[in-house]
Amino acid sequence: MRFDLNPEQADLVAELDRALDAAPPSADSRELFALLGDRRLLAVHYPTEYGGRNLSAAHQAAIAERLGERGLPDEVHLVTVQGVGCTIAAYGTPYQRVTYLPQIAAGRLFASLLLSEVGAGSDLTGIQTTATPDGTGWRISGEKCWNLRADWSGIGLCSARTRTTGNRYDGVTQFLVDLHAPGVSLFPVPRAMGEPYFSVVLDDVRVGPDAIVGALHAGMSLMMTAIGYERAGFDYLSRARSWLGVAQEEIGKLAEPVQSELGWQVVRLERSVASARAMAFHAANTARDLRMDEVACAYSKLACGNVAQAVARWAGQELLPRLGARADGPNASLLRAAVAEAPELSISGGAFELQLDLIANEPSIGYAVR
Amino acid sequence: MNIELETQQQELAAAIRGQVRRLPVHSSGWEVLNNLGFIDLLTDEAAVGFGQIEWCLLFEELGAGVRDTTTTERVRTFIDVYCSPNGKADKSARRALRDWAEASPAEPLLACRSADLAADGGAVWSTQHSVVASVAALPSVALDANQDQRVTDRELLVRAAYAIGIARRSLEIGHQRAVEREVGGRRLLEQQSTAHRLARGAVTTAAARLEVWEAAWWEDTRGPAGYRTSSAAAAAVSAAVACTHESVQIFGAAGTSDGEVVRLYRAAYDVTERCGPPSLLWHAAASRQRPVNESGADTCWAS
Repeated sequence: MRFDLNPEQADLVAELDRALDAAPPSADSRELFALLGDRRLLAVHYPTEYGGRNLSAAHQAAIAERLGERGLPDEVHLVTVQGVGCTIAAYGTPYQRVTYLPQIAAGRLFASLLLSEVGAGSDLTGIQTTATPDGTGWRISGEKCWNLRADWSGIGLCSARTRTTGNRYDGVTQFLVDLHAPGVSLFPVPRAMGEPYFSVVLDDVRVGPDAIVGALHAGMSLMMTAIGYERAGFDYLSRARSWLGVAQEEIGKLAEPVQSELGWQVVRLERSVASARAMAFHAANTARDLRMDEVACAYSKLACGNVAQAVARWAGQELLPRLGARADGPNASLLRAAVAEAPELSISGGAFELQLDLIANEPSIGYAVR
Repeated sequence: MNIELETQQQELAAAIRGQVRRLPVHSSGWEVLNNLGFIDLLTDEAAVGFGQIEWCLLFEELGAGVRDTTTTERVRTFIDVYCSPNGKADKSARRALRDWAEASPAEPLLACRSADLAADGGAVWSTQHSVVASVAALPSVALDANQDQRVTDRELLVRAAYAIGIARRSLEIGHQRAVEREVGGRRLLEQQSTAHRLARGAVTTAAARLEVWEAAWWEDTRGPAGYRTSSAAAAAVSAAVACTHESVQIFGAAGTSDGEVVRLYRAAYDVTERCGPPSLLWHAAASRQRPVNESGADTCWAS
């Protein structure tokens, strides 16, 4: 048992820091991803032949955590490298692996998970998007929603109904769709804070037979797996840590009595963040062949999401009203953005209710972290 | 970072869990441990490898069984004060501990802070009132203020682990009830109001357990866990109280009279009294943390 990074993980994080420190100050996020990709630092758990280093998922978790701390959009990294990339690595054809994984690992290709629809968020069996046979390929039509930074993405892992039977879980297939193909349109949808979501409309988009990931008509379980890959909660953890860091910076500027008044609340949040972090790494440590234990991930996602929400809520209720003249400063703006974003943390990437169901239904409750 | 238990740690917990189930509920924690030949482990050289993590695992199981731990806590503290691996009194103290165990339960293990204070505000520990000759013959041990605080912290830490056991067991019996009990033709567990009650309790308990384990790991590998211990205790007793309340609710009216549910419920408040109110513990954590952080020597991130 250890509650710190092991030496190999710490070295990896230091290597990532050196690479980012050496980058030109003008480099934007995508250029930084490419720079890290060139050094095989984006997907270290991928096999070597696909641009990784054949390291463990826990090593990758250490990388993901640091990317968030360094202010890179870690949710893009998680969806691309974990959600889509790991699904291809585990279930894709040799052609799909060779075609996409090296590009993803190199930071040259971003990807979206095109699963949710307006009427099919928590209930993914309710999807209306269809794929109909067209010669040897398929034509896909439908609308996918709540996709962050889909405008960066070159491909999407898209769920579509390929047949209708009495069983809602049957007849769903996963396709890899070129998001620059004719018939694909992106529409930004403003959200409470930050980058907009994109609605991705697929209008008779043709894909070849080699676009199918996994088995035809049996993509429902694959869909849950794909979400699971991004579910360990590291993106929420990095939010919790950065929000709390900003809050602590502001508390340090308050008068001593106020600092004392808030101190115990901060410690409580701080320790909760530390526990959530341990749970997230625990989930990563359960990975076998890139697959993480879904119950361990559920614990992690809930712990990380809960604490991020708790930090935001506390900042909104207890700290922001005390900032006085600094209420217009950059830290206060960031904390207001946190307050705005907080509610979606228990909805996106698999609603909390789904995670709670997973935990409640494990045969021996509490076993996942014991 | 890896919170997996080692095989020996898992075996230790499983052995105690099994013994807790086998012995009647009125058996004390020390009786549970004695039946496993625990004194041999503690008085053996191998005891050097028995760290705070192991103590926490042990106390979690005793908490799950709601066993009285008065004697076990005294033994643990005795080892803490008198049997430090390189301490001069180590060998004679271990022999004395064995003598006491053979005389047990004739008297509680008497090792306590004497009325004398150490020069720097620490404490002098004495065994002079023990009726076991080899225990009484042990020299007094003077601990400086920091050392004595550490002894107190470790006492608090195992009580926190005990609280985790209470929380966990409450969830286990609540879960079992929800699996077996049908209402309107559906199992309770199929109803989200019940399932999510259990799941939220499980996440709260897991988080509190990790606080306890991290403080224990810190004690074993880094040095004084300090404010982490106070915070862990606050989280643990909060989890125990929350989960025992949930358990009563899941059992419904039966929860007000079921032997185990009620025992756990009372135990949650009892351990809260022994640890202290969570609000005070968190305040203590904050006041202990600040000087550490101001020195730049420590942060909440164990990396």
